[in-house]
Amino acid sequence: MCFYIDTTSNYLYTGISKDNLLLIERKLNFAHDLSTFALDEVRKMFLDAKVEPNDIDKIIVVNGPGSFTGIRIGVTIAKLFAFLLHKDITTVSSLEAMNVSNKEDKLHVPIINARRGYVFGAIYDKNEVVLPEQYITIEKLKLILMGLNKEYVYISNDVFNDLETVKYDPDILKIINTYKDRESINPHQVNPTYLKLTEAEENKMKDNL
Amino acid sequence: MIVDIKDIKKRYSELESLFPNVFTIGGIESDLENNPFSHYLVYMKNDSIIGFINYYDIYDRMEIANFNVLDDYQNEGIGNILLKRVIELSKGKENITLEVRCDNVKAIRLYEKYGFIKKAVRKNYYNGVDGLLMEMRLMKDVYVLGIESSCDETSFSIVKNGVEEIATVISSQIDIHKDYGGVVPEIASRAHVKNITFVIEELLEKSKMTMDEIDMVAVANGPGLIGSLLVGLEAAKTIAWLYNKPLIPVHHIAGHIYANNLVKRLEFPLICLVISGGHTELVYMDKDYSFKKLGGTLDDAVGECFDKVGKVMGVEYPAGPKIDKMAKIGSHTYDLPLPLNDDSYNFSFSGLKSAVINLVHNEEQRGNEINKEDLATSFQETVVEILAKKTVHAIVNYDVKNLILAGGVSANSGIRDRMKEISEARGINFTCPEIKYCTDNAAMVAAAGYYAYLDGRRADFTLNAKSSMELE
Repeated sequence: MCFYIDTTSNYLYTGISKDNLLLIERKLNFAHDLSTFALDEVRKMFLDAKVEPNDIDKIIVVNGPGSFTGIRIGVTIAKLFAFLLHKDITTVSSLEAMNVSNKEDKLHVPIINARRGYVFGAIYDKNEVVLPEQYITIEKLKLILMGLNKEYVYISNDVFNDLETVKYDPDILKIINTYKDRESINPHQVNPTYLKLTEAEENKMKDNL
Repeated sequence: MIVDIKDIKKRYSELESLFPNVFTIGGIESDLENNPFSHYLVYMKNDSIIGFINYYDIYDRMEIANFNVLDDYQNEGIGNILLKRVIELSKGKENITLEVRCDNVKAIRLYEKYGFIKKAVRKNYYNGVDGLLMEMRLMKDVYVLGIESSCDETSFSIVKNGVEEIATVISSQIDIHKDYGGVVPEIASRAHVKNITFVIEELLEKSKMTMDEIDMVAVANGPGLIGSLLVGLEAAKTIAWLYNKPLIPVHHIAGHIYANNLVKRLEFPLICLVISGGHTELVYMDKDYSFKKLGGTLDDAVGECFDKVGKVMGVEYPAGPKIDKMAKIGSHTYDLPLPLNDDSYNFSFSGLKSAVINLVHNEEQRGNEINKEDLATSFQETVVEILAKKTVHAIVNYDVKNLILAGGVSANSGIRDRMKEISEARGINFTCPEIKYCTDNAAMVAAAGYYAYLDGRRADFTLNAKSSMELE
């Protein structure tokens, strides 16, 4: 059995799969209350599915990019789960999850609003990485897409003034099936991918230049 | 042989007739239908019922409602067997309670043998005879897992019965934040996630215990840096879920106060002076886990004041310990105002901070060199003076015989020495935490968690962290 958890946005996306079947899933928008409800919803999901935490063989945790606080909630739950119950665990990027879930036959451009004209974004052609995930201005991303000269679709949960986006609706079973055989990581090494230093670190680097 | 009466359905009336005057109207059948908590175990010998015990299994506790053995079979140990079975069935629960007639000496003796304790008397409970409420607490030794991540320390600890530290691990980020002249919240949150499983691993190794052996999880869920608090809180909720343990919310300052309980069991009533980087408060306690805030700082906390003054004097963050060292060398030569020198229990340190800054700037403009050691002494003695004055005021007005210190700044030797002096002069008890537990740690949270638990405090899985919350 596989347990999937993603708390990198305002949503809790979580599910449990068994032998290629999705036993149960939850897609809930908690706005700013994710930290209050995430673990309780996971707990209730296990109860509803009549699955014990110990029945799980592998954990797939989405470890960012996205909301810094949000990422930490899911990663903390998942790494403790894996560490304490000795479960296999692997990480998936939120942009990879967004790419896999969309079925359109175009370039997939998952983006997450990082404010001040920046996004966390990547470009995928099927499962092939065209542009690795990065912290990038929308303008620069547009230029790169122009240069590729292919049809593309922006996938996002966020709203942008000047971009047409397709809403992200995770296909949890497909994400699990795509990544469940990805190599397991020592739970100690399961950490968020922020793709961005903290402001204090950025300022310090500027000072040191 | 013990059987559940549900398994021998047709014999409800047999049991009722064997013990007349015991069962209410409608009898056992109606009780079982209407009360989902109620269970009856009967003791059978050669297919006849000779004793029974009726108990209520109410989630995390048990209540013995009725218990009797036929007169002809008394002294055969059948009561023991039935009672023991209920105690076995109560494994993992908090307690078993029961009500017994005060004059039923034999029964009371049996209950006491198994560890029941007399809790209260109910006057005339049995038509003229007093009823005695007895309780058996099931967790004889309570191991509390404490979790602390309010600021820049990731800490886990196991404390037994609120007083005995089994093991503690503290991962401090001080070396990271030093480069920024103070704690950077986002950096702190990131470090907590990175460190957390290493800290747990080390704790389990050090304590030679497993998570299964823990009785409950206590977590400091505020006040503090919200991003930091949330990492510890999610960890606490995850452990409580995975191991099916009660979750106990602990106020971070209550934790600091209970660091004293690891040195010496608190005695009440007491006055506690809480001094740290975020707090300066006088607290009155008349019993465990009951706090009355008498007053606090109106602006900067005392630890914050040490750091800011340190900055002006060119002392590296965290400045407190270094100023304390310098103060021992210098002498009190600079004149500084005693801040908020009134009859309230409140403090104010921003004025004192400004006075030091002005003093340094004025001297610099005049081309005079500041004697840093003397300034450190003058500053520290001014702080000690006002803290002592307000603390004495509280001791006298509340007529207490116990004074305790709590919080990171209670490691300051000038403050410790003065509080000890004050206490000795008045013949009252004084306790301060071990130096290593003055700053943030999970041992204090686990200790406080035990008393929060005894006070009946529990949280469900929707517990949230709060950056500010009152001590109550």
